[in-house]
Amino acid sequence: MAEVSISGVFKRFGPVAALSEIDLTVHDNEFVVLVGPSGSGKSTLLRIVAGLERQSEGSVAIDGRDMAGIAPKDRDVAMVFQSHALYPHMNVFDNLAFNQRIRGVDRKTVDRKVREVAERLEITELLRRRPRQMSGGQRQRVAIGRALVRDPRIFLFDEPLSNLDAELRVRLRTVIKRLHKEMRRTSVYVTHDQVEAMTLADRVVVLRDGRIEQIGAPDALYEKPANEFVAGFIGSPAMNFLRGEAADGVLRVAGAELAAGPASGASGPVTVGIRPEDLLAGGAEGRGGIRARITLVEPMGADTLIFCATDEGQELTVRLPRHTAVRERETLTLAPRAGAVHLFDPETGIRLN
Amino acid sequence: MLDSRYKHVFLLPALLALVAIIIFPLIYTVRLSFSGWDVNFPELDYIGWENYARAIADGRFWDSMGTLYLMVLLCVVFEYLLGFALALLLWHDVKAGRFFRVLFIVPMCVTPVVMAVVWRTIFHETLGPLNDVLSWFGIPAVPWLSKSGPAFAAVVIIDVWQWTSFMFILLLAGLMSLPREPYEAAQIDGAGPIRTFVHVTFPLMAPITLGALIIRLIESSKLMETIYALTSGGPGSSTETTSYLLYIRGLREFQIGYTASLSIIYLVIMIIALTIFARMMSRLMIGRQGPVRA
Amino acid sequence: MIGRRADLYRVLKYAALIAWSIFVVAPFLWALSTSFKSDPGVVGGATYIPFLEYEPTVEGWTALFRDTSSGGISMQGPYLSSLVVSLISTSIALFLGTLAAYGLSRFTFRAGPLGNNDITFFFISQRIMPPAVLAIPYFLLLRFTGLLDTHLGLILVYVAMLLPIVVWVMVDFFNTVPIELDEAALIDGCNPIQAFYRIILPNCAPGMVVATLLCIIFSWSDFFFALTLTFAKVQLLPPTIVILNSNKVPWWSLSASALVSVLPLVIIAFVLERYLARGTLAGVIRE
Repeated sequence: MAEVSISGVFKRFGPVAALSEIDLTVHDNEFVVLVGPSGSGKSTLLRIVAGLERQSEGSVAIDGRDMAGIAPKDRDVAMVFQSHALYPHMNVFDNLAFNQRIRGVDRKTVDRKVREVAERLEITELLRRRPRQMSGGQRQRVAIGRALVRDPRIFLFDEPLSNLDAELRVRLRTVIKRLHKEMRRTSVYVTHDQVEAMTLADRVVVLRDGRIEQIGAPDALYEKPANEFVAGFIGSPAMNFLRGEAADGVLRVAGAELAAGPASGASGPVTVGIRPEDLLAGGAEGRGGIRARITLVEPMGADTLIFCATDEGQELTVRLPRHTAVRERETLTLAPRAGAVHLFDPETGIRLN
Repeated sequence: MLDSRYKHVFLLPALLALVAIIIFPLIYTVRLSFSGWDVNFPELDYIGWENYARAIADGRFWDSMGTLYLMVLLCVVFEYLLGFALALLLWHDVKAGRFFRVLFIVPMCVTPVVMAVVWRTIFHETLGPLNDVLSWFGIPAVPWLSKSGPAFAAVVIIDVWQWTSFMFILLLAGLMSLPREPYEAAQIDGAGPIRTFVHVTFPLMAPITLGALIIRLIESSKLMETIYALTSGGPGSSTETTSYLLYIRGLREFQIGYTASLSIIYLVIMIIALTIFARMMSRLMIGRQGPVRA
Repeated sequence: MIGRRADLYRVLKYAALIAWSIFVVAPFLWALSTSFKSDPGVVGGATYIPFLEYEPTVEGWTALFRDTSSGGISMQGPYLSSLVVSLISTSIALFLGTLAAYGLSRFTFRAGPLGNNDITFFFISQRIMPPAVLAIPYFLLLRFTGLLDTHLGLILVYVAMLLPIVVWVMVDFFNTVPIELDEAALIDGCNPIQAFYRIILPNCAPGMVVATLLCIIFSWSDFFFALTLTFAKVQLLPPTIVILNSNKVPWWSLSASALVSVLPLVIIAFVLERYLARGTLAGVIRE
């Protein structure tokens, strides 16, 4: 049982606000991912939960108990660091056992727990090795193991996969996901990688400049981003944004007229967001079609990315199925999938539909 | 940065110790410098700037400072040039490199004043080995410790013998920590060994060189022990450094108040000189750049 | 052509290295040779090779252990004193300095406009202080407190002399250890003091070795404070030997005593080289 409630948290470094007005409750057994570009304050927030840093204002409570003045060691949280932070002078076994020994757990129990965790993470044969004798992936496995041995109330992850190469990142991501499925422990995970956020999270918290932009399930964030920033941040390749005009339910974009969709009372200039995978090639020109000239084709295997420019010079990325016969310098007519057009206020970036 | 209410447990003991053992005595010295405390009158009275006026007119004091700075300058320049040369020679793999390295750092580890006692026998005009060896080459006996020029040279030779090792080890450590890439780039660009040294090694070594020079300047300006054991400041006062003079005036003649004023003047001049030197050199060699931190 | 030039360079290089080596060891060899001489080997001018040029005796060496009354110089007392004083002052300086260095490396301190770097600089800058400037107040203060001519008084002074060295070396070593290690330890159940000595200190062992050896060298080699702050009750090695020098003690026992007193330092040089040449000090100097 563990619930983290963060309310009204501010963190200032001198005049700079690293975090402003953070309210967030991480429910029991939930996996919450904090995601945002560098400098968004996501790591700071995690470190405040861990007790490594103190907030300037506001409170953090774990299971209803205010954590003010409580040292990290007394919060019963475990943390996995980006740089693994294994103790270089101890072998893997001692690294895994360190917490239990500090707490005075008897030798037999420590031994049993360490071996259990080592087996689970398939690092049993590494137990006698020193951190420097292992690969990056092995080290990060051990770092995860160090957290597991403790069986803490809360798991904290601070960009644990960022220092690994792409293949290992995917592998360890599934390891973490599987562990969470089995153990169901409250977890807070920080990353700048939106793919990690989408794949791991029960709920994603998008941060920018120390503020929460949106909180929601991965699908909700993808389908209904609350603003232009979230829309652009979630999804890869990023959403296309075009300047448009809305009037009487009709949307004029790049020389084409689209149905603005229901429930949109917007009128005047708008920013039109369409994801690359929501643009379909073909369709009649004029009504419902955007004319664009292909500037670059990038075959990706499963599908093909096409970069093109509209007549007005606005740039678009389109994701088309493999084997689509297109060539550079050709002209395409593109139409958005029905209901997949996002409208944002060009001034504030707030979602309009 | 960590954050803890324990943090003062770490810093305070040492800070208090330092304040008690260095700062407080220093302040006490300032107070002493305004008193006429001496053998006949051992009391902490107040006589205003009298001591300072006397110090400014004290030719022997200023001479000692001149002697000191000339000595320091000669020593540090020789030590730097020789130390850097030796470090460059032992930089890349050399047969018996470890043997040479150990040998070369022995002098900086051994007690200066004890070695000065040994050197005194070496410099002995008739019984010492140095003049004997010189005579093999037909060089007439040098009155090492009884003429002012040779005595000055003798002090410099001992200092260079002892502290070149220090420059050597600092600069060697610096060389070994240099990144490989600039050298590979220079090689690809077709630079020869001399150009590589001038354009790569020397600039890369600038911060370390500067640090080593400043450390040596600070340490060598304390020069006193060798002189105590070797020449007692003589002949005349030709090898009398400021530290030695302070010792004579303060703890032999017990002119406490006056010596305190000399100490303060000396300290202020030294700090100013070092600051100017450090500023000048860092602008010259590095061009205003902060320390590199990992 | 190129081969020739490379060969010539090699020859010159080793010639230079050997020449400097000879310069370095010459005083030691001279002292070693002299320590086995007796009157005839000295008064007739410089001699070098035993048996060939003079008849060696161990008179110089046995004198070290004999009482002054029987023409000896009785080195055991000063030796022990030096050992005690340098080991104790090294331990204290190491203890205080390492704690301070860790604090300065890990926590943020503010004293008005001054921050960590200024405090670190304040520590290190104390090396500027010439002993001759501090000797007078020390003399008076130790006299007031009755610590003049005692081991304790000298140890206090040495601690002040050594602290800057320890802080200087250790701050930099601690800075090379990532702060995540401390954080991991704090989360793993350590309090800050446990994190310091269970996790960070073991990872700075080379720094501790370097700092310890430097402290021993400096305290063992100090002459000035030993000369001015002790006289009769406490006798350390360096002043003892210098006083022999002015007391017309024969060269052989003088040389023997000099060699015996620097022997531990030569051994230290061997250990120190391991750590220094590894480039461990490079960061330290870049201040």
